[in-house]
Amino acid sequence: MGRSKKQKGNSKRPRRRIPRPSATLTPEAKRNRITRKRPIAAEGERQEDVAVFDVRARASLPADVAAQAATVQEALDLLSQSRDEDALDRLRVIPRRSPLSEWRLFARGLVDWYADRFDRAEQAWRKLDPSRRPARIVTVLRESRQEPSATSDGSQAASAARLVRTLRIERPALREASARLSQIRDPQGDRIGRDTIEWLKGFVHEYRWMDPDLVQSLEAAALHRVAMQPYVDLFAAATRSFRGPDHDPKLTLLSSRYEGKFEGGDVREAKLLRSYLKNDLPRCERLSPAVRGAIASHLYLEAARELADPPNPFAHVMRLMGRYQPEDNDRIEERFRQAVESYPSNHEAHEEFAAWIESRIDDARASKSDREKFSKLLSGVMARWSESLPDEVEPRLWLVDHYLEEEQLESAKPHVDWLSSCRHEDPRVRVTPWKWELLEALRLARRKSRLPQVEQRLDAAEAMWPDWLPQRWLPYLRAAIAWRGGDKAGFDARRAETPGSSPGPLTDAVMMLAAAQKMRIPAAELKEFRQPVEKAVRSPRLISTPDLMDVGSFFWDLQRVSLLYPAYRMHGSKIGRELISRLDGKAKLESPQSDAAVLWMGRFRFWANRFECGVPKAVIRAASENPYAAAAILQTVIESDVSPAVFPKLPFDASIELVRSAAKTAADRFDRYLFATLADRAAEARSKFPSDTPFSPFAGFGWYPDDDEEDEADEYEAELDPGRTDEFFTSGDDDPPEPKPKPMFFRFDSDEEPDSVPAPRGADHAPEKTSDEEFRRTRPKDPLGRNKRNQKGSRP
Amino acid sequence: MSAQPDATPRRDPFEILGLPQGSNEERVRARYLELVKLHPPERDPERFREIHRAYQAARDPMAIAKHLVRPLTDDEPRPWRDLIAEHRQRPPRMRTEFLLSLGNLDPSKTRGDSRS
Repeated sequence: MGRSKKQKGNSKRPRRRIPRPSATLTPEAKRNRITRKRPIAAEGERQEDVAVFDVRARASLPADVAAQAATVQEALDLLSQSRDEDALDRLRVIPRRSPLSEWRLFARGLVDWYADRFDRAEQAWRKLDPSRRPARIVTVLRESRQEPSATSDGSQAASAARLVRTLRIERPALREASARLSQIRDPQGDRIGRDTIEWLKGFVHEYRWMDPDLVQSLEAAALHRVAMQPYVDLFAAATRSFRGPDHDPKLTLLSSRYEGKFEGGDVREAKLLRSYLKNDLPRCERLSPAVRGAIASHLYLEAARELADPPNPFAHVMRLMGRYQPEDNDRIEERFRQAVESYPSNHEAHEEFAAWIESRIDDARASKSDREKFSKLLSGVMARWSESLPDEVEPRLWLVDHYLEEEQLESAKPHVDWLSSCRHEDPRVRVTPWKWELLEALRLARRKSRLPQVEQRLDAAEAMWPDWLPQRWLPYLRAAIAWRGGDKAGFDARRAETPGSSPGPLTDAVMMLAAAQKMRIPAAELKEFRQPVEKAVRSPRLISTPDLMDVGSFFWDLQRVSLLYPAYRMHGSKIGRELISRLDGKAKLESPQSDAAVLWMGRFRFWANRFECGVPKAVIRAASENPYAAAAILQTVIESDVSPAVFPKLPFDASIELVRSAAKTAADRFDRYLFATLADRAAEARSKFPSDTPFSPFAGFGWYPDDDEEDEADEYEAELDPGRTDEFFTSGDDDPPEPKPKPMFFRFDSDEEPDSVPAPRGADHAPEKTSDEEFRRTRPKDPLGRNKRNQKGSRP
Repeated sequence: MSAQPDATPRRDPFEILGLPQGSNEERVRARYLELVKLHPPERDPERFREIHRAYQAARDPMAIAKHLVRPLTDDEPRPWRDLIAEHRQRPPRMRTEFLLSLGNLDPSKTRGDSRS
């Protein structure tokens, strides 16, 4: 059918567009209007205002005004991120006479307006020039608080006010999220299905601009949920679609940790972690360099810990049986070094690096050359620790001992001076002058020609002997000087002054051996002092319990002032183990010597491995009343660095209370400090492991000890997302994937049989049936390196 | 024995400041300033001291680093309804471009790009 000319003529006439009131716009159209809004310079608008949003306009302004315009823009950006104080701080550089001072007033009022303090906002805004942009914005903000009917006059301001109202009051993003998430019939809300992830993907795309905080929160919550579930397909879908937080925008770190939960995921875990540290973290510019360094340091330290002390009880058992690969010392050292170098102020990294090296030196399996190598390494680590954290006393105390031992007086002096002038609460710091005199005496004893000076130094040390440290070792030291000088009569006379066989021959022999070795009596002559100790230790059952206690008490004295002698390594732990067997029997803690001996043993966790409870029964029994026993229990758990719940027999929380209260009442200054420190560290350990159940590698995935719960969980998952089908929780195979978790922990100190340890779904091995192949899986993995025998293909 | 004795048991400073997982330095500072405004020292000295102590602990880069990289599996995820309720109390801020565009004059009086 043809059209008439009239009709054609009419069709050429431009059609008049009738603007639709925005109230009738679809949600999508509203969203588009909001997201596409841009500031546009008006005809004749002041260039100072235009320069706030248009960089080109700044070129025509004086340099200082242009810089102020840039500052205003930055401040407004900060306000959009809720960093109000930072924004106002930033604007303080704009002088009152500046043409941009209008924006200062505007920003101050805006902070109040956002906080619903409208009267205060009006006070700030009342002086604004109505012809300027800030005043026009304020007009819109005022109108946005009116009901929609009052703002429907079709003006530009009314239209903009409606958009503000949509954004801040109607909040379509919140409404949609609320409606969608309330449909999930999940009482705990701790799981997520593919439907929700798919919905959230679309939601994020649509609303990130309008409600960024809400979108970010929902993304974080979804990632949290997928990270706790074993479904790798859901995890992959979520990490592909959602943005990560500032420190992990590409979710590489989260993915690394997720992979680490699966058997055979070690390679990918290490690869992702390396990629995070090398590529992602250095580019996180929203974090300060210090925080970036601290993150790297923390991750390297975690890697070192895992290598040095794998969180796996099998490792310790297997090592003892010789069926477990020994520690890779070079790699552990490298990880510790990276931790220290990434952030030199990381106290834990220095402390644990030093402790690890000390453990290598004390390792009975270490060769002489290994000991020398580690001793050299330790001095470097301590020096670096002291340089990086000059206010810490621990490395300085060690360095004083070390430099005097090495006859490096010039290096030792600054530390001695610093410690002497330091008002630190640690009693060991306050007695630095005493220690200096004593160490000087020991150093001078190396040469016979200096022996008279040794006596003088010992006299000086005696004059300032700490009130919290028994002096009973002093006569032994004097006797050793006499021996060293070839004065046999003098030696006998001095020996007569010593307590002798009271209370026991072993204590006497040990104190003499310690003094002789410290006073540099030659090895050939030392045999005479070594023999009685070795003989006693060969038949420990013949030693009386009070004698053992007294030796332990003496070891505690040497331990706390870092004066242990070299031969201690040969018999210290043997004496300790004998004492433990007595305390597991009839022996009780009923003397000051036994209290001190318990503290000494607690310092070494009663020679148990990290997951063993080596605390003897008498100590556990006494812990309700005896603060020394309670302190030894705290020390054991703290040094184990595992949850207190791993040791259910130990009264950990009650011990904290008792020790904290003893910190106020103990008569001895050293004990008060020790108790206060231990109570704090124990409280810290408690907050680190708040759960009352021992940690489990399956806890994060929601696996349950009861197999019956598997069915319930499946039924529950089916209800999780409305409209979800089973395939959403699978990778498309007939059977849902069954990721194999790592070998689980069981409690060595519990009364339960290994059979009763909850097994994960799909894992049918009980610990006592574990095959060699499974044992091999327990070898320590380097969270940052490649293991030669990493299993592949078992990841779903 | 390297730790300093402290009579007060330690609470997570991030918990005291009410900061969620993943809060970076900017968030820590912004939250502190927000809380100080709510609890000024002259009106609420005890709470102010607690907030100040927590901020001193939480601003340490090492504390922030540990807080940021803490495994998600250490905590239970927050229920969806709590998240929605929290955001209901916090209307979104306006982006700078959108805010500045509110001062645009009518299109007939403008020059340049007229996309809006």
